[in-house]
Order: sequence, then structure tokens, then C-alpha cells
Amino acid sequence: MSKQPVVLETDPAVVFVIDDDASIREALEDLLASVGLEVRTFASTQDFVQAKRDDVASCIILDVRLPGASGLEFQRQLSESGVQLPVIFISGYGDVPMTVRAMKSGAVEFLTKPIREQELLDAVNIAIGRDRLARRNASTLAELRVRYSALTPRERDVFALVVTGLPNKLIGAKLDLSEMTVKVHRSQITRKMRARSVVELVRIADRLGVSNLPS
Amino acid sequence: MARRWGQQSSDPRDQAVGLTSAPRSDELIGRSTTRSWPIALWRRLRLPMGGSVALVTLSYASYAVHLDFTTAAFLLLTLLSILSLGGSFAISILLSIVAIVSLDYLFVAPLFSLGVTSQVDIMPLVAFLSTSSIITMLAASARKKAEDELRETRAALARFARVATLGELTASIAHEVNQPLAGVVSSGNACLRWLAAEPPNVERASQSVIRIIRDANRVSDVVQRVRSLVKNTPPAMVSVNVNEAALEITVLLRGEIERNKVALTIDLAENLPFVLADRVQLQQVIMNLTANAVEALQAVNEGPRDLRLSTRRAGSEVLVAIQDTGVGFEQSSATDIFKAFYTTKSEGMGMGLAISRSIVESHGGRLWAEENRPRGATFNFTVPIL
Repeated sequence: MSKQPVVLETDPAVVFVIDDDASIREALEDLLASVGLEVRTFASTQDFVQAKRDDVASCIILDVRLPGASGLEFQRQLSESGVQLPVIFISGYGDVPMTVRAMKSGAVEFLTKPIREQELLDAVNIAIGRDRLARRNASTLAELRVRYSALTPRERDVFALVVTGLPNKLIGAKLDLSEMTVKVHRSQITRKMRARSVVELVRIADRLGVSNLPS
Repeated sequence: MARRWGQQSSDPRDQAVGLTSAPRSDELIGRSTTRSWPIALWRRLRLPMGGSVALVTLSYASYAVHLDFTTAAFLLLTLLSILSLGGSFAISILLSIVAIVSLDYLFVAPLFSLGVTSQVDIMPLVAFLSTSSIITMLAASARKKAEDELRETRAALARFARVATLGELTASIAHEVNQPLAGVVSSGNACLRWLAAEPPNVERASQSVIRIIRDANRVSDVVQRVRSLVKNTPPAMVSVNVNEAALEITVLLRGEIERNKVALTIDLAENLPFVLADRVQLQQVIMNLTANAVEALQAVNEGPRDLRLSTRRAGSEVLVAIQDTGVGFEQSSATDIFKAFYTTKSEGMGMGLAISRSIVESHGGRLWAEENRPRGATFNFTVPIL
């Protein structure tokens, strides 16, 4: 048998299958279950939207040709409404323009039916990995925001200047503070942001977009 | 907006149909055959008839030289019998005998009974009878042959139209086949994985196989349906469950319906009596009308794209209605749309509705179109209950 995909990290992951055809739904559910993935199937995009979803790494396997809004339209609606789940498209036929459109709008993969299992499993792997990363990033960012919100306004000013690489003396001059005060602020910032070095501070600032944040 | 179906058929088209040995396009597709039969018959029989008339004229020429009353009567009668060729062989003979006997006894015998013996001798009578019999037989067989040809042409054309419609629906049918096949492949993969697990999960594996069988049967059903629609079989009248036949067609058309985002409502009457029909032909009619409706809905950009297929009992008939909210047709063209070669589609043959009506009428039913309010069209047809 072909190589087993390395899907399983210890974290749970869910694959959502949206296809109006019961044969496809059941077969995909079975196939993904046979490699140990948790699957939830939906006959329509409405069902999917209405369903309660757990906050775990997940991806969508979406039929392009659905009654009502097409898969491509649905993908657009999803990302507009802020749901950033990776999408794997499946389709009975795949013409080039459709594939291009799907891939441009960020689809992980565009597979034609009958689906080759390895391609599907690889795509699911990539998609879940992508979502996991996105979730991790999102939670890190949220955490950084919390830390940032603990800074005093003055500390934020100093933070913004520190990460531009200015020496304490110049920062002090700019903000009309003594070099000593800047130093104190600086150590407070490093502590509150839990950064181990200036380089890390710069990286955090980058992710937070500190230079754009209101001080 | 109105669905325009093109222009009325003109002479060249009739001539083109003439190539298929059918007398007129109307005749070919089975419309108004009763109205136009003298013309049709004349076109079919003018050659043998011309020959026969010449023969008869020649054979009686000698009598005509010394024209007496009896001979004149024979001539008249022969012509009469030729003209009555529309009837059957037996009726022609009977007519001839009655006419000749009555002529002899009403006119000839009384005339000669005045003093002279009857001059009617047996030979002209025999000559007349044999000649007229031969002519009538020839004519009857020519007519039968022509009718057979017509029937064959009509069947071939109907089949061609069916295949053509199916051809237009290739994408839809391919979808219907591909879908369960994709299921089979994925279930097969799953099954292998359940078996390869340590320990093998036989229960899940068998579930996969059960699904594989189900999906494979689904493919087989679709293929069966397509094949029966394409197959070149002579019409066979059997008792048909109209609901079942209609449902099968909606399955074949499902892809097309979904692709065009048409909302299909199926409203089939329960306990619908069976009808006596050729199942395939009946399905062809439903397929044509439904495919037409989907096409009419394609052009709808605003408003609902609703399609309703319903069956119900109407007196001693079963009525099938295909109703859409499409672009409809002009009221003035409500009858034109059933004419052969009447089309508004760039790729249409204009035969779908004509053939459909021909089929329905050959089943003793009716097919007609109605305009919907606020828009769209309803096509109704009836088939007598078994």
C-alpha cells in the first residue's frame, strides 16, 4: 500500500466534507476515517454554515458544483466573513480557468473526481498543517496583543523607538526623557513583552505592527 | 421577454424531407396526416397510377373505336375504381361489381330488352375485373410499402432526435456516471486501508464494499437508462408507470438541472394508473420537454429558475405537465412551436417538439403549450389510461 500520510499530530483535527452527493460524502468520510481523521459531512453549504464547529485545526473539502452558491462563490463568502479555513476543491471536471480561479483565491488543491487517494491525503495534510499554523500564529498574536496592552503609553512610545534601532540617548532626546529613564522603560518593556533580546523585541513589534499601532 | 422559435417552415424544407421519401415534413413527423392524405397518396401513387391509367386506356382503346354503351361504362368504372384507390382492395372490387351490375340491369338490360338481346358479353367484364384487381393490388402494396417506409423514417428520426438530445446532455450524463464512480474509487481505497490495518478492521472494510456495490449499481442504472434511450428497438406498447419513467429522466437530467441552478419540484400523483405506451418514446417526450424548460430557464438572470414536473389523472387520461418560469414563448407562436424545423436555438434542429407531439399523438394523447403568468411556459401532454 502507498505510504501512510503523516496526518496525526497529537492535536485533534477535523475535516469537513461538503458535497451534495451521498456517494461521495460517505466514501470520503470512510477514506479519511481509515487514516484516523475525524470527518464531518454536509450536504450543502447552508448545513455547514449552520453547524457548530469546534475550534480545532480543520479544513474543508468542497465540491465545486453545488446547488445554490457554487463552491468557488462559497469560498469567497467564507473568507469575506472571516472564516479562514483552508479549502480543497473537488470537482467532476476541472477546466483550467476554474482551477486557476480556485488556486488564486487560496485553495490548497484542486482535485478531480475520481479522486486519487494519495493526492487527497497529501492535500488534507497540507491543509490541516496550514490551519494549525494559522491558528498557532493567531493565538500567539492574541497573546502578544495582551502583553502589549499591559504597556503604559510612555512605554509604548519608547517601544516604537527602540525597535527602530535608536540608541537610548537619542530616544531620550526625542521623547524629552533622561537616558536613565529610557533604560528603565526599556527593561520594563522587555519584561512585559517577555522578550529575551532586542532582536526578539523587534520581531514582536513586527508582528504587532507596532509602528502602525496607536501609541 | 418571449421565446421566439424561429420562422415558419418553407418549401425547401419540405423538399429536403422529401428526400427521406416522406411526402411532407408534416406527414413525416406524424402531424395532420388525416388532413393531407389525398395529396400524400397522390404523390406516392402518381407513378403506378399514371402507368395503370395508360394501360387501361390502351386495353379499352379497341372498344372505344366502336364505342357502345357497355364499353363506355367499363371505361368510366375503371377510372372510378382507380380513383377510389384510397379504399381497400376488397371495397374497390365490391364497388366495381355493384356498379357494373347495376349499370347492366338499370340501363343496358332495359335498353336492350326493348327488342334486342343484351349485348353485354362476359369478356369485357372479366377483362375489367382482372385489370382493376391488379391495379388495386399494386396500388395497395405500393401504399403499404410507402407507409412502412414512412413509419421507419419516423422511427429513425425520433431515435436520431433522442440521440441528439442525449448528446446535448453528455455533460449531465457524464456527471451522473462519474459521481458514483468516484465514490467507488474512494470507498475501494478506504476498504484497502481498513484491511491493511493492524488488526484488519473487517467490519469497516465490509461496509466499504457494501457501498461500492451500491454505487456500482447506481452507475449501471444510469448506463442502462442511456442505453435504452439510444437503442434502436421497434416501438413496443407495454403498460408503463408514468411516474417511474419521469423520475428516471429527472435523474439523467439532474446534472444539467443543477448546473443551471434550476430548482426542480417533482409532484407526482399517487396511485397513478398505468398507461399503454412505448416506454422509451414516452421518456423521450419527457426528456425533450424538460430539457427545453431547463434551456428556457438558462436565460433567466433575475427571478426564480423554477421547474415543476407533475403528473395527475385527468379523466380517462394521465396528464404530465412540465412547467417553468423561463423566457416563455409568444402566444401567437403557440401552435408554430410544434412545427417541424421551427426553432430559435442556434444549435437546435427544431424537431424536438414536433417529434414529441408526433409521439404523443401516436399514443392517442395530446400535447399542448400554455403561457404562464407572470412568465414561463407549461407543456402538457396526456396519454390514455390502460
